[in-house]
Amino acid sequence: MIIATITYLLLGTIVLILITRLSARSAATESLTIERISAFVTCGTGDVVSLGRGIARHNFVQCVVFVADRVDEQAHDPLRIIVKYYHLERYLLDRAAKSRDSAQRAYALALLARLPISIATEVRVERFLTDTSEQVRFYALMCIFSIAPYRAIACLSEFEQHLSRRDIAEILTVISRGYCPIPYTPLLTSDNYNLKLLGIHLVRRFGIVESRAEIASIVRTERGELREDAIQTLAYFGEGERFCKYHII
Amino acid sequence: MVKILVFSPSFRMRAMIVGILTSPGVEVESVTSRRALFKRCAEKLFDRVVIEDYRLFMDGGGSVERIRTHFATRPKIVVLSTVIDEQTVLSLLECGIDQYLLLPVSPARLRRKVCNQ
Repeated sequence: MIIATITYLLLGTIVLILITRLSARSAATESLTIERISAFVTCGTGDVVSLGRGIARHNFVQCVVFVADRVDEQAHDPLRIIVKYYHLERYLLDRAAKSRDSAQRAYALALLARLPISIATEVRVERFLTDTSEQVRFYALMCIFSIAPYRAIACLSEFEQHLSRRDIAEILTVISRGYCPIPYTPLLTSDNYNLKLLGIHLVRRFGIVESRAEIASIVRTERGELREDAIQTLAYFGEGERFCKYHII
Repeated sequence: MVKILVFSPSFRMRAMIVGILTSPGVEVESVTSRRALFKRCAEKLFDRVVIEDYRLFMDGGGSVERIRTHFATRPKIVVLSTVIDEQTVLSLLECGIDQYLLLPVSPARLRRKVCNQ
């Protein structure tokens, strides 16, 4: 009994040590890959072949996405070279298409949405807009946001599910990078829930105080989350006291 | 030779910043913790310290003094963060940092700001 316990403890310790060493090696490999990708992106030239050496493809995609998330649009030309050379678009789309698990499909599309991808990918992504999973539909929408910015509003107005605040935050991240310049007035005056919610958060994010009148109108006419967010936006603009005084809130 | 020290709690961010800054004529080191950062700054005089954790300066200017143990104005401190709040950025500048850069950042601009100035 004691010998069995000691044996199990020893085996458990060995397994723990192996896992620690493997994860340390994996972190070291990721670090090296991210360093190489960053150096390539900074210079704009270099050996693209050596970037993906010694690392599994899926981990490599995650490294590229990590860098793409943290560099601005000026650095996207070298990233496009990497995406094209390693066929990352096709890899992620195939992964999304073949996976039976909706979480994996959504994750593949989420990675795809954060890469600088070509317009031709839009057709292949559109099929996911009718997926059974909400998450998959949302990340398919995000892919279209990054591919075709001027179609973004039309796609969002056709989107059936109500977006959450977290979803809006992700869209605003894309907008703030300059991917899709969107005028706020049509959003705030639209009848569409998603467009209105996006408009409220957009004006708050960028401090567009000229939109006070439209926001106040939403406070008067809407209910629920839209009204709450509109009130918070007015408060952010320093208008909360004025509306309390006139019993609008 | 420009000597740069990089600090970020995330190993991926450290790798990215090191990859961007590494170039001829530049010597880049990285540390993994605040304690290691202060220790390294006390041991060696760096030209630039790049920090991707604005919370390091939550104590006011205390961290800046611990980084600049040799001189009052060296090394130059560059902070990278995603925070866009004006008050936070002003507070950081009042603490004594020299440059605040917003993420996402242009790699060429970051290299120019850190390595060349």
